[in-house]
Amino acid sequence: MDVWANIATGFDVAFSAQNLMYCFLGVFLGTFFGALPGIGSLAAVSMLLPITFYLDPTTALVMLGGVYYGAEYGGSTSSILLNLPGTPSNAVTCLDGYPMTQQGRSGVALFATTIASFFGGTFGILMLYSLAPLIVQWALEFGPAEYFAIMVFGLVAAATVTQDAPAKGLAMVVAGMLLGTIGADLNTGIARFTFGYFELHEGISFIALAMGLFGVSEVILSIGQKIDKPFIQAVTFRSMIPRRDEVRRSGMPMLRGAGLGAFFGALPGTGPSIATFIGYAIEKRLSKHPEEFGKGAIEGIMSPESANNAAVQSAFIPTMTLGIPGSATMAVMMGALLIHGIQPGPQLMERNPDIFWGLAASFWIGNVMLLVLNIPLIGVWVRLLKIPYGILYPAVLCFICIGVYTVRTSAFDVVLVLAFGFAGYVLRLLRFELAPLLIGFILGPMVEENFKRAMLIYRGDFTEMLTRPISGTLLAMTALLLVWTTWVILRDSRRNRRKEHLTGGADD
Amino acid sequence: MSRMSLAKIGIAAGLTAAAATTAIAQDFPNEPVTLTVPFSPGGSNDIVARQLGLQLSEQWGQPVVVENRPGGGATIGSAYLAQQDPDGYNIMIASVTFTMNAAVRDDLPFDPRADFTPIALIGQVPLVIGAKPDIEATEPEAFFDYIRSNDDLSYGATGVGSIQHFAGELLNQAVGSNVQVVQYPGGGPAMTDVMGGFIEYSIGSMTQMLPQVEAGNITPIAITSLERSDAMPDTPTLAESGLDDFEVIQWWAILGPAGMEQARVDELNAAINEVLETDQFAEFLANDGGTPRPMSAQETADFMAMNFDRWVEVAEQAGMKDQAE
Repeated sequence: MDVWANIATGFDVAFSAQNLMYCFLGVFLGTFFGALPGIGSLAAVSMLLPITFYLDPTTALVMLGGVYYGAEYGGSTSSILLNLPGTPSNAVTCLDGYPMTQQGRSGVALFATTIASFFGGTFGILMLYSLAPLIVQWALEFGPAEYFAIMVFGLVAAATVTQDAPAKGLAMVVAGMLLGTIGADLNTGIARFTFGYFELHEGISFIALAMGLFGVSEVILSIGQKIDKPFIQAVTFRSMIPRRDEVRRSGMPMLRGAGLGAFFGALPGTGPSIATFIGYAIEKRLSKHPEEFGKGAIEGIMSPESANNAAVQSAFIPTMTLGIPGSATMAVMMGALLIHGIQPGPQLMERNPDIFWGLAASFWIGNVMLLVLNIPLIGVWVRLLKIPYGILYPAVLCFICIGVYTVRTSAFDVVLVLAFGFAGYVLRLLRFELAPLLIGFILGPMVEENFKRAMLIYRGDFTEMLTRPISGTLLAMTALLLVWTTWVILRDSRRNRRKEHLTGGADD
Repeated sequence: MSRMSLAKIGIAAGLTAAAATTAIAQDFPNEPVTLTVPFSPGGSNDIVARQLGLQLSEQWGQPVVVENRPGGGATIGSAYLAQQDPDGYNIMIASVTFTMNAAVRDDLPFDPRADFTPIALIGQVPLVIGAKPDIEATEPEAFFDYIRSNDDLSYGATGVGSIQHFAGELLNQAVGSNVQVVQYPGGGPAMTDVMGGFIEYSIGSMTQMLPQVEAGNITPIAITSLERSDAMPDTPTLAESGLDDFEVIQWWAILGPAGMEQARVDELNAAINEVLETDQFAEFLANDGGTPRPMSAQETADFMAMNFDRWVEVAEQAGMKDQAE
């Protein structure tokens, strides 16, 4: 079979001493940068890009790719241990990962997410191997109307990520969408809500927003608090093994997460963050005990971690086969190929099979390396918690500032991340959920852009959106979800009010 | 990022510099030159700047530090450069969009004509009209008829005042058609919607179009330079297809802050033109269908002035600014 020959070529390329070395270097740096809160894959890849000018293109991509997916592995570590997302797409993992740490079960959480990451990554790579051309063909079926429909679906689903107060969640989604409107409007070129700051012309930096809300606010919250750490435990291999029921409950969320991740990763313009949010929302909906979410439910970490790792792998599909980078990080990586005069695109698989298949093979090798690298490291990471917060948190703040600055070389963004930190602090005191704000921020502008685009193309005929099969189906699903959610909101608020009467004020 | 490029170029250049300084005590440049790129790493401006910077540093024996200052639709990097010392150690890459922005934006924090010194032109690359794969009118003349006689068509561009937008409106004006512009965040997404058949065409970079054309995902109608390109020799130009003098090209130039001494400008111009004449640089541009276009500093200034005037005219005719209301 042709495919087998290609895979064999791929592993041949990937197993060269040089590529193995750079693969290891890449995943090591990636998992390290990922674990440092604030420095995500985009910052890490941008920092390392100039080095790769001196490598051959396959090796360059092997290394940068390793950094990219390595960061997703590492990113969950600080989410779980410190409630600080390592990268924005690990933000959801905080919701249930940190409670597990507080219960003294950080070893289990880290072990489980490593497995989920490996599973998701492998799933994404299998997609890359087997379905790349098919997926690309299918992705082309997605026009503005379809993107609009799927983003609306995502928005409505995301509003339900919240724990207790759906109305507050909705408010946060809307706040996120409003923040997303800042910047030059694509269709008119008019700057909206920039108040004369050119730094806001291209919108608020997503990294600054995510790291401010989740990272800096966590640091502020810790100020003046006496933190006793009863939950630090010695990590033995035995203590990392999840309970039997947790193993049973992990399988399907991991699989669904991987599927979602592979889907959103392959769709240019979306990406791992969206996949994790929607994955979490779906698990909460499907779960028999949704009340456990936010309190250390294992499904709440398995699905997002599997999703983001699948997404970063399948994100290579549109980049390599269409030449269209799905995210900013992928765009930087494509730049690494372009500098060597290689234009990724439909011809890449034929013309440079060594690059395509070599990369795919190296990704899987990299995932195995990450698995081997991460499990022994769990004990080391957990010991990090012993560092006094007075030392750890200032360092974390530094990392966040470096990471935010690197992405757009902008001092303005550093001020912004601190401002969002204070905003996040206040919102958390008021018990607002921050995850829905982020998803509103990502999806809102996409909804708007694609809606306008569709309306321009169909000359203002909205029925076109309803009658196109994919967008029509998605919009119908959204309507159903909306009706159901509204009903749940009403029911719960009535129930809460009754509870308040009984207890004299609801807490948490 | 810039730190690392500094280190890397520094190592490479350090060796040559050591040898060079002992031989000739050249007075310019005797310290690193900073080449500002007002965009993120990885784009065409960045890639061209890096290649030029690399070859200039070899020539001078002095590092050329490429610094990315993205943001504000290239205004942040440009405003930064305008405020630097006009001593020749601070230069910037600018492309055709620098002259286009001036025609559609009122809010630029600098005067694009008065605050800069044009130093040299680097090169140019044509755009390609890439139409959806199943379009029936594949010959330019038939294509013109098709877009003239249908009023529900759309084309993709990459923002108000982008080169794709200007090219599209210029085509509308030349053909007498009324194809609706639809804006995308980048050339890639616009091209995807052409490939999916959601919009009729987009007039995009040859670099991006070429692989899709070869794969049959996009039908090339014509290119926008006056002469055919070696990268797509079978694709006719618009000029030869009945639209006389139709030319929209992507070009890159090197600018300095206003108030540079003429001697320094000429020195830089000569150094850059020396790079443009190397086979290495020509091959580098040819990868993407581009060609070097050496000019004197005065010719560069005239060329840019002509561009400024031309885009104001096109923007007014097409009512590009009015779309804002």
